[in-house]
Amino acid sequence: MPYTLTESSQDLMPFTSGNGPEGDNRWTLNFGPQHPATHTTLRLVLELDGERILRCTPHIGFLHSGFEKLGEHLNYNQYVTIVDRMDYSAPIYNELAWHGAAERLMGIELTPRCKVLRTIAGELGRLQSHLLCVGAAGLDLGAFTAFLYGFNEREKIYDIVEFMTGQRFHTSWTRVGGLNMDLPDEAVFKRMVHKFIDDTLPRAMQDVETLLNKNRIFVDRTKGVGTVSREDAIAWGLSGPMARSAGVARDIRKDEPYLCFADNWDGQGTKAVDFKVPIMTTGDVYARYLVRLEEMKQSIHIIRQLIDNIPGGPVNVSPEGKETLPPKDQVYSSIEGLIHHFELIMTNRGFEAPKGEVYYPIESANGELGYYVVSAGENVPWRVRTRPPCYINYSIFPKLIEGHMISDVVAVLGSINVIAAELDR
Amino acid sequence: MELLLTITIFVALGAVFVLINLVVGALVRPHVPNAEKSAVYECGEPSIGSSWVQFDLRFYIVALVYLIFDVEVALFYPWAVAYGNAANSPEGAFAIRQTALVDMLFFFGVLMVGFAYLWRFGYLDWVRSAATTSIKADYRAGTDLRKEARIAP
Amino acid sequence: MIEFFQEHPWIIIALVAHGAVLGTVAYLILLERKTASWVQDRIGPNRVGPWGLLQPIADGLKFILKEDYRPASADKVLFSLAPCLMIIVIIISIAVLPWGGEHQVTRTIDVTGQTDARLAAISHVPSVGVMVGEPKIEQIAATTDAGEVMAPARTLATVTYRYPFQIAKLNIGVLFILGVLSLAIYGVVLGGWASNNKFSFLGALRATAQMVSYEIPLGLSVLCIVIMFGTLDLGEIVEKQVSYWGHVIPAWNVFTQPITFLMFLICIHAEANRAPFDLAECEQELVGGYHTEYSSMRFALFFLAEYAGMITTSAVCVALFFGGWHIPWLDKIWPALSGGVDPTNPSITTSLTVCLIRTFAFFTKTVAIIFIFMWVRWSLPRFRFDQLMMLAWRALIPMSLAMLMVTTLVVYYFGTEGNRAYMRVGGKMAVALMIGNVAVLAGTMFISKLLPAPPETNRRVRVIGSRFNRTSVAAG
Repeated sequence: MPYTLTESSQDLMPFTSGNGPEGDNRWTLNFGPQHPATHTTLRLVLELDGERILRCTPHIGFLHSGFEKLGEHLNYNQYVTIVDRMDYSAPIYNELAWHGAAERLMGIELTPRCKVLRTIAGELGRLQSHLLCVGAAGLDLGAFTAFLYGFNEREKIYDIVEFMTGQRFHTSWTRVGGLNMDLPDEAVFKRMVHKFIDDTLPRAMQDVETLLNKNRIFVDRTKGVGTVSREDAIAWGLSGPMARSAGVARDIRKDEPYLCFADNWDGQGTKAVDFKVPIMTTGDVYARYLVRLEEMKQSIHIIRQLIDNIPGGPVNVSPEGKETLPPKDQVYSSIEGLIHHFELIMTNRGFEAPKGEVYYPIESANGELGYYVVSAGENVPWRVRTRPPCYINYSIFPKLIEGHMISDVVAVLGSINVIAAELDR
Repeated sequence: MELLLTITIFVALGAVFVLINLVVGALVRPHVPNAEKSAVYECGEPSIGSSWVQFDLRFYIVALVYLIFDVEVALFYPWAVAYGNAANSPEGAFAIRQTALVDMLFFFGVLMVGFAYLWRFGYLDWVRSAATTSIKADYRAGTDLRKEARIAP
Repeated sequence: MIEFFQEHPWIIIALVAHGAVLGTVAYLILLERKTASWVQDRIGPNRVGPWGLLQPIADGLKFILKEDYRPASADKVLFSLAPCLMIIVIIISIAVLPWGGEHQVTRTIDVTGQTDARLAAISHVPSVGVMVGEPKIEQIAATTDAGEVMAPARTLATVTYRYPFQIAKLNIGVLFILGVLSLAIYGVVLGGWASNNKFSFLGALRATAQMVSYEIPLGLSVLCIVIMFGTLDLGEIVEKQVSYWGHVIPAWNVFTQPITFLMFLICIHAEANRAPFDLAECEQELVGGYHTEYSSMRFALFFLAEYAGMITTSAVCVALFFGGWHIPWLDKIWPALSGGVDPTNPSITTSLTVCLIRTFAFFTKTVAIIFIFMWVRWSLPRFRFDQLMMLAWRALIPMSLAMLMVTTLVVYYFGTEGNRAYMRVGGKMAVALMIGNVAVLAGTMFISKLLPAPPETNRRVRVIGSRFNRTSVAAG
């Protein structure tokens, strides 16, 4: 259907910055791109009446890096280094989503061990992202300490992730059909995770909750600010804590289960991991904050179920299969392994995906993160499209902030948890 | 007299401290101005319009109410000294305080009426109920914001 | 030279106070950073010098060496004037702080050959001092063993005087400080306005309304203390708190007027523009607020002024509520700490050491209050502007008015046994004040339940004509 310009798309038109008798006290303010509270490079053009926001026009694209286009030139394993850099508050998520999509395209069923490890990593990523966002809720309102309490714990997640993947941040950990590497030492890993989820993290969360949850200033600043109604949440396609805080009971982990969230994930009839989806109905900044806090507790619950039951076996699907790299001892000791290795990683070689197109969403910390991959049967995708939760959640921001005050901009922006790299890609 | 001199010299010392800092700094620090540096900071974008804008009327109301209350506080001070000190006076504390109290209660009462009025009619609220307030945003065709924003100053 | 300083002791005090306050300000910044790191479970500055102790010096050097530029469109004169104004104003207010009570000195001066020995002796009394009694003049004739007078005889005058251990003993000290501190708004307003920056302008506006609003409850809570003592002299207010109730509890106003103290504390937070009232410079909203455009030394002056303002307001708080230089319990062992010269006026001491110890005690208490400032800053989020105004106008001002009334009535009924005595003895007056404080608190809590709820301000104001609210275009 052709796109027709109607009156309702008037906002595409230049708008006035206050002329005439009524517009005299209107003024326009650039909020960003270089602003301490936009966290990254966002630009909001605010039209103000005093401190009251009459109109907010977000300008995006300051961090555009052509990530999606790069997907057409890198093969299914190489591209993971790029997706890592999208949602940098929890990079592991992007990897799970990307390789989930690639594996769905190729019809690969992962080994149970890989599924468990990926699920644990994913939940650690959720904790990582929520710690940042929950802390930032305090930071944006001026409570710097809560932010650092959260960040301190992120540091410990980095330690675990480093142990697990060999990299602290941009891990590039997943591969088609498995993982870059198995756990170096399962006992140590378990000990680290246990210490983290049983001891340090609950204490840190307790600290943050004590600082903020019943703090009169915090509650007054966040309750009723940036309210999303249930209808709006659905109409604007919001997902993740944004939608759940507005009463939309949608969580990809329940609705389109993947990894260990699906029943019978190990092929032996094991039930899906148990967790609850927190919902609030008020849809304001405070609700989003509480939903995130509760989700963190649920993540801890999920990790606790899985960490002691990591199944044995290989992490990669059939070592003889085409997609996964052979183990290093095979590469070094047998000609078949060496050939297999080079077949996969040499330029213009590698494996070819079947023709087709898939969409694979996962529940990332900010909402539905999906990859839509179109394959023309080559070793690189024909087209990769990301469904970034930030971009879609951010789209409602001008509506949320209209009629509020300047001080609320930071509160609402922080509660959406906009990650500009993912927003602009 | 000497007291004033003391304070004056003390202030002069403060001023000298400030001056020394500014002058020493001016002598040693680099001075490499350029157009970007001397632009007004507005988050890295060229500023749209002047910042010397008309601002919210509420500020005037606050100033007005402040004026009344400040006069009141100023009046209270000499009264408070006399009232507190009355115990040492030869006329007897009670007599002086009785008069002072009645006078001040009257003044206070008048003030309270005003305060109650302000309270009742919402002049003390910076934002009157957001639920009932609305602003009219009339976007007529006019200045092209994008053009204005992109032109270098 | 020594003679000169003996006759003008305030010059020394002024110089020392300047150095001490400005040095302290620099180290308060370090203390703030260390406090923050302690609260936030991290290490804090530790690179420059041991434990980062040289950090303030490094900061100072950096402030001096960094380039100082101002926006081309700024108002040049006001832009430069604002930070100077701010810091000088704050420095002035330090002048009337009663650091160490009064020092009583007895000096013997050789006035041989003066026509009027008495006048000559008096001329040696420092101009800020007060003479105690008449100078004793005696002729000392040097005699030989045989009793022969060896001419000429010498005339010695022994003169006793007291001088306050502060820079200027104003009898309206409280009023002076309140007046001078309110001038600090000008620095903020001019700086914010002159920058021609929207963030600065907004910060300046917010600062004005905020400081203006919080000045009223500040003044009213100070009034409660003034009514109790009937004086505006900070030194005298301190002196009257030097006592005990039941030989255990120091007769400090913080115990008689706890609610007033809390209100005062909140107001000085707002006056000093400190979190959670730092709306004028909040980083997350207004970048730097009124000092967004300032750099280098001019910024440093704003920064120093903020901390110097904290010192002043905290010192006033100490003088009003925490007995100033009074060192509790220790003066039971060493009575000289609380006078010993004049039983009715404990601030007088004959020992310079005692004066210095008192100054140190005063200072320590001040730093303790400043620590509360920092503690609060790193614990609490920030108000929004309308909430800030609501706190002042709908909570603090009515409460402080009620507190004033209660204090007035208590003084009316119980403050009759002589101004000095009643606080010393404590008894009825103190108990009545404590009950009054609790009553005001309870009454406020009760009445606030009865009053109509404050307007809902967190909801979005309806913007008629908004692209998200198109239906109301037709309606509106």
